[in-house]
Amino acid sequence: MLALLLALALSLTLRRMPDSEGARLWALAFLPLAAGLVLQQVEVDATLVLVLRDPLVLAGFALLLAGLRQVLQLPRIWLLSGSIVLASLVASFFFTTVWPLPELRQALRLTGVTLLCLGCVTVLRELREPLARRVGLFLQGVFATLVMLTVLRLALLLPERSPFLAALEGTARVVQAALLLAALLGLVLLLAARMNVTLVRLVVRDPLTGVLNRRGLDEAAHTTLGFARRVGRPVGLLLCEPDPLAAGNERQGAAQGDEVLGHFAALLDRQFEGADLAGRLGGGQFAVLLPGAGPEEALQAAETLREDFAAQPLLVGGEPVSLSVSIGVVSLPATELAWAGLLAHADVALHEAKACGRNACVLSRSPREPEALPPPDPAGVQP
Amino acid sequence: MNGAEALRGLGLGLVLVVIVAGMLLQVLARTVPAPGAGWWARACALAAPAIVLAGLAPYTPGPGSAGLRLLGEALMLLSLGALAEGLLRFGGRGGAWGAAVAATLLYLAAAAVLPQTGALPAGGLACAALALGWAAVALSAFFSFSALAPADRGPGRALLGIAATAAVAALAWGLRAHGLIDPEGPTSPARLPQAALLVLAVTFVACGLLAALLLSAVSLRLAEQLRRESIRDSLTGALDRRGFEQHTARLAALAAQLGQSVVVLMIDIDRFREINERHGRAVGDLALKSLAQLVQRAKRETDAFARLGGEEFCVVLPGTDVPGARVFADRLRRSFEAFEIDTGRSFLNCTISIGVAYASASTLVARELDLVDLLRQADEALDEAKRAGRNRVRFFASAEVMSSRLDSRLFTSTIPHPEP
Repeated sequence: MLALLLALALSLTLRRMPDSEGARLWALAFLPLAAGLVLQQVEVDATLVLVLRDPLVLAGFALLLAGLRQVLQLPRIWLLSGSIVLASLVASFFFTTVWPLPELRQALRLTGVTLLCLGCVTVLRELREPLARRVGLFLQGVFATLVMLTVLRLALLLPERSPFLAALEGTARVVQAALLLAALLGLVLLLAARMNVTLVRLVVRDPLTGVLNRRGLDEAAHTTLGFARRVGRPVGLLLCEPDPLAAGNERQGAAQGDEVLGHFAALLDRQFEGADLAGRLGGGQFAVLLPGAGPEEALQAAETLREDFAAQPLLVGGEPVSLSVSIGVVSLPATELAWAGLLAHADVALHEAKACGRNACVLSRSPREPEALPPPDPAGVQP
Repeated sequence: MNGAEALRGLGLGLVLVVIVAGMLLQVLARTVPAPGAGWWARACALAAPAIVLAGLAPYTPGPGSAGLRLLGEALMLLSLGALAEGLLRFGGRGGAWGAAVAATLLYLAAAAVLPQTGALPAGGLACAALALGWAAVALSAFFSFSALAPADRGPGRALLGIAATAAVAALAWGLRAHGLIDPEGPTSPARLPQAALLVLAVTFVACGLLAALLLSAVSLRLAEQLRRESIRDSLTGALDRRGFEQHTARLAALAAQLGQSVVVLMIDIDRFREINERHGRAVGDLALKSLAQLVQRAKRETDAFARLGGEEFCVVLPGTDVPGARVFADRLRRSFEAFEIDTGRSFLNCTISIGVAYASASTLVARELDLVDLLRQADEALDEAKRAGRNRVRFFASAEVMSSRLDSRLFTSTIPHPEP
């Protein structure tokens, strides 16, 4: 009972969370639940209260089910819940005033609870989002345990009361309270999981370097390529991968790799602005989208980028280490523009660049004949 | 229920709450990127056996009892340490775990030695240690609270709640310790026989409350992040001001780079305030949503559509010329005029006024006009459209628009402001 009272107080936090129409129903659910359970323990004489006792408890469960259906955006929110509560009102009235049979009344109440919890379990199967599935499983477990518990209590009703059974009944009640708390918290968790799903979809920047991440690039490329296709202009793509530092440096760790990436991202930020898009595809790969650039312009931009990157050495342990980057270049005319196609061609060109000694820009002319243009390498940076 | 039964009941309830909270927090840690949630789950995993052991200790005979009790208390202290560590990690710091392990070892040493000397009864020491543990939890929650950005009000309140709850628990255990250590004081077992029950009840409530507050802290932080990152207006699905600024700056630059012109439309629902007052806010919202749907259907994928204010919308059409802009604006105006909104009691016909501004590719490339200027021009054209009687389209009369073969009745009558 204590648990229920505090859960009631905590349901107020649900009000603060966005997108929580179903959650308001859950917050409401604990009011009738707590009231009904309190009335179970306390002896009351007023007939009205006696009649309302059971339906109140069932109304609490019904609100949980209805809230679940609303959050999962299923139709006919109130069908099962409403009908059970109404039936229980009628039955409770009948069995309290007209034909008093407390055991039957209790059995009916427990059956109602079982049905509603079963409803929750089946409804939760509709939860499809992969990220929220674990929460769905947790909630299904909670409600399934509640079902088993109420079935157990149903079974305990029938034989005559012995002290052991009474203790068992008491334990069952405590467990039920804990499970209800779990249900409420699990529902809050469900909302949190959904928010997380939405958030993942919104975040378009890479947390480490601050440039666009894969998702941001995909979305921006979609608009850019669509527009370029419509107005008949080509689009160029540079696929860049900073080369690993000289093999002799044994102490190269993740932190240094991150520093190189940050360095490169800062350079990209400075050099490409306005309509040109620069972002991190993942791992060590960056992509630069150049709308309106034909093959020569794209290659020129790649060369400038490569030279600028090599011109700024990085301080490692007090010693300047010169950096280099391999770039795969591709430019497709408006008629052939596709994001996947651009990436694929540029990937082939990048492999070429890595293969012929790094610190190079390779322009892809067609899938079959990449044209390599390795620049002179006076410093002999790579071993 | 007599005392022993109540104690057992509460103990059982406590174990259940902790187990449930543990499972919940474990799921949380796996589902949502929440720093510290894993530690909270570990805290529950440590606390559950601790409580069981402490509960079983009175029933086992001989030296095993003391050993079990010590183990239980040690586990409990470690669990509180894990809780504190998780709270610190939530606020972006860490480092309490080492201190927690050290404190537990210290406690074990003290517990082994001190009762022999008779300076402190074992029970008193245990309760004092637990009180300190809870105090540490309260401190870490408060620490994390102070580390949060001031904009994060939601998680801040949850953290304060956690600190308060832990402080109350610390107080309860501290009083119990005081009672056990000082037999003459007001809180001793002789004066207050239900002391054990009370302390357990407070801990029970505190654990339940903590589970919910921890969950709230993570959820509320997610909600704040979501609010910060969102770029769409929730009612209409159009971009909001922030998303608009991000998207259209790039769009204008893109148009310039590809040698294309840009058209900007400012759209305003006529007499919106009257509609809201006479038919209610729901109808007003319906009008906004209908307009948004019409524009979404009419625009191309590469056009940007945003809601800039209460009833003001903006559409940016890259790659459109003046005749194209006129066709688009006219079509939009006419289809919204023809659209009937169901107010429940009657059907309502609303109208819109549209102001249009145009910049050719050469103007954009030469940087003579940028998007901000275009927005201002479109705004002036919108004002003109309203003044001229509403439910009409007006073009801003820039040189390029006037030189196109557009019907001069559509121009704004005001002369464009000279550039400063």
